[in-house]
Amino acid sequence: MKTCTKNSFLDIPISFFEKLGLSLSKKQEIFCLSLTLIYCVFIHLLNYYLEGSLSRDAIFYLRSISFLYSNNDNIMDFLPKGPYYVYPFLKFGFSLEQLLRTANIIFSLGNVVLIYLLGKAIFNSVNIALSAALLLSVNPRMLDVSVSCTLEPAYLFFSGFSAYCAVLFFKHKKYYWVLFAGILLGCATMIRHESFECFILFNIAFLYALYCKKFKFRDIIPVNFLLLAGTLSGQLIYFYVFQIPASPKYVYMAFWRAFKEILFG
Amino acid sequence: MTYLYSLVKIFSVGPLPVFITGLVGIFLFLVINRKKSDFFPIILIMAAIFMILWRVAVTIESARYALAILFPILIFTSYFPYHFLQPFPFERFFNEKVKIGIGRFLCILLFLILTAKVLHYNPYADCYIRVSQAIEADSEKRHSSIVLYTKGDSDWLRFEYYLKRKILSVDRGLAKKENLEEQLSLYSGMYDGIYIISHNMLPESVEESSRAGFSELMSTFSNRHRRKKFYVYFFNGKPIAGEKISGENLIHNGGFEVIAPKDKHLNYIQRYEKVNNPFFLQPRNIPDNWMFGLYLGDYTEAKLEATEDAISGKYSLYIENLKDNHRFSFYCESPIPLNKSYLLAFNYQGKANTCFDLEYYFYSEKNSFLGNHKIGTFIVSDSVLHSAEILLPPPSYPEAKYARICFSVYSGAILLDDISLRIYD
Repeated sequence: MKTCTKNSFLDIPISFFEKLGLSLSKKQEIFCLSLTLIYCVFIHLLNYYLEGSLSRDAIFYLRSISFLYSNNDNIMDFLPKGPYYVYPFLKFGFSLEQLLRTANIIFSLGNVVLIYLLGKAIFNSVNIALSAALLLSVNPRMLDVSVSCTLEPAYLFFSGFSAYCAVLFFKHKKYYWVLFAGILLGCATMIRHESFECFILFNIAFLYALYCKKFKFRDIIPVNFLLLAGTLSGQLIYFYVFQIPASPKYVYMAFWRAFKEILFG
Repeated sequence: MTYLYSLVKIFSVGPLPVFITGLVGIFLFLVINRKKSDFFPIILIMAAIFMILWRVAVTIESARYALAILFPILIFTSYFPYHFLQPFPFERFFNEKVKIGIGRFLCILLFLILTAKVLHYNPYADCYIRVSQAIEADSEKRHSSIVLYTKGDSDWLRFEYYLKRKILSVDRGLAKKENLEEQLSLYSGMYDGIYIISHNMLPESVEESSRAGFSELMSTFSNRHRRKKFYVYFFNGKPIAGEKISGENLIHNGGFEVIAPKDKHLNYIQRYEKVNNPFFLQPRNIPDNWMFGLYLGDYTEAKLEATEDAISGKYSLYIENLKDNHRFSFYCESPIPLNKSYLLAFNYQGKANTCFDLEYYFYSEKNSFLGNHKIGTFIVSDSVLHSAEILLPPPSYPEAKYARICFSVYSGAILLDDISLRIYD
């Protein structure tokens, strides 16, 4: 069986499975992952057909987007009218509901890929990574939130991606990964407040890395500074590109107005 | 108990067999690697434990708030099948190929179990759509109708979305006979069809005693276990008998034909000059005996004036609230003595989905303001001309001697005319 000597994706060294000659080849690996993704799309579409009603959160989100379009919500006066990404879809005759459903499928696929990457990065095992991806693709709770179009798939995608960037930082010790982790964490915090736990988790991991003598104690300041700067810029990116959905909107609005008043009077 | 409830919710994310396998996988990893310290798996274990403890500490109401735990748990769930033989002495009888084969087989087994769970779907998940379709089909036969939702939770949003019209969420439970009768009498003079969506079957006694036309339109389960059910009732609104009405119209200038002098409201408007809102600065025709109500401020964005595009006579009153969900109110200045039952009648035409409240402002014998009381919320279902007759309920303030009638528009626009208030015997 042909095996790859270096994973171009992640730059991970050859796993012990590979040494034993039991690992899947690169082509087989991608084929298995693709099958998982296709299955994930299929099961999503099947569930849309079987249990297609939207959740309250999704309807609330659709309403807030409609508000932005009708420009009735005047607290948003400093924002552009509606999220940018919606325009081309609406221009081609898609409804907001179809757009939300499509976005949820894409985020769910992203989550499957992310768990695969995380599993592979953490255990150096394709078998574990693919199995985790397969189990996530049919997880009933994930499907439930995705089909009813709540914002959890997007939140999981951003926080999972942030965690993956953190793993790459600990692996390669390159500071730009912390910045990326921060930006993605910023996006995640705009969807759900719980994502702030990733900030604490990152620091726990960093302290453990200090204990394992992977870093020096003085690194804690630049790492946290980059993470915080990334988080703030991620929040701004999310604010202007995707715009704030559902309940956190008003909390962030209050912060934003306070910030504006301090800066501009 | 709330901590335990949160823990149960967290465990159900997996679902339970998968979650427990994940926890066993963590334990297995720690047993196998007790003398090593693999950096990333240890971090993942820390993350899983921290996320579980965090959510138990803050307590969560829904399992979806714990979805982030899926990442570490599923990775360790996948770890378990490939390594579960490792701690046992008979592990040496299996070569690596067999172990991986067993691992893959167990993972596929878990995958099939999860697929079976996914396919065991809720056949009543589309209950919101079916209820909405039934109401929509029936309401096409009516001149005007309103939909009331009785549970008080935010499920009304889903019905509103699928019905594509505003529905009214009633706080007070309509399972109580007196609440139901009060609501029906309030809306029956305004709409010829009242739909009630309820989680409870309405009391039989009401069905017996209520007027003809009160019927169950449909009922459907909403969950797989058939424990929750939606009932949809239809009440045929009937116009109130004209022979019970007597006396003069107590509302002066109810037809808005007389315009107030320009300087009449100057003092009142000057109160708001500081806010520099264009609404208070523009000149307009305000009908005599009518005035802006309470709750005005710098956010007010509205239109209020007597317009010549009238329903009847020369003028009608046009009110438009340009700022959704900020009430804009106006009231009749002449007070009504509160010693009789009254019937309020008016003609109206509005934009579809306009939402307005009818309110009392209560005053004591010495004419001091006591408070306000909402009589009811009304929704304009279409842009056709309608006539409304509303029997006003008794005052909620025992010391109140006088009241004023107030309209508060929450969203949309409405044209009002021919407002009359007469004694109802």
